[in-house]
Amino acid sequence: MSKRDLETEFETKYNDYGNMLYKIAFLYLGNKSDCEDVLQDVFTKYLTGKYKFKNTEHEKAWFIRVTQNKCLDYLKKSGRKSVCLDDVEITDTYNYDETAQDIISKVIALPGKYKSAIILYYYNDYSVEEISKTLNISKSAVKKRLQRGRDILKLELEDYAI
Amino acid sequence: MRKDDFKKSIDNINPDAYMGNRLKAKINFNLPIKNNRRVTKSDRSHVVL
Repeated sequence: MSKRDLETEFETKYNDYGNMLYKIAFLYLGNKSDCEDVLQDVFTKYLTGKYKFKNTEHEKAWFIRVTQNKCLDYLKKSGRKSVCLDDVEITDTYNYDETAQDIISKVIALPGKYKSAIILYYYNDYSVEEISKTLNISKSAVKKRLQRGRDILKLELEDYAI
Repeated sequence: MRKDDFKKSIDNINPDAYMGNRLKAKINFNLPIKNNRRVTKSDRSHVVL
């Protein structure tokens, strides 16, 4: 593939998935520059790997999974297991809305494995079965993670009922 | 929390308009591409910042 083809390929995939992957990465990392580093790794992996996908859903699932894994690696490398809310630069990248900001800061504070299930289920509208395929875990593990994630959020967001 | 509230809160997260361009500038499209080859640390050192 020529340099021009790779650039076009990047632009196409960035338009398709860039925004969604940024949102996912932001929920893991909480700041713009770390998100950009992770997305750079994800797209470099895609462009250098010559992956074959069965269909667009398979491709989308690949991008989501690689982004989540890269975020977890990034946190591990930087010696953090989760994001400290003091480090979150939410106003930089967030349209101002106090309630929504409050919700999102609680989601950012969730442990990584619960966060993945919660995001895919509530935001990407994935079914339990689809999440189990994307994350490569059993359906009962997905249900358990959703339940525990919801329990934590319920405690944090007492004004709402999930 | 209603699902709509949750979705709305995530929808509010947005990359700035130039992120795609910045990423494009960072990714080195001249990397030698081989089948199923993993990106190594030395590849990253060639990434144009």
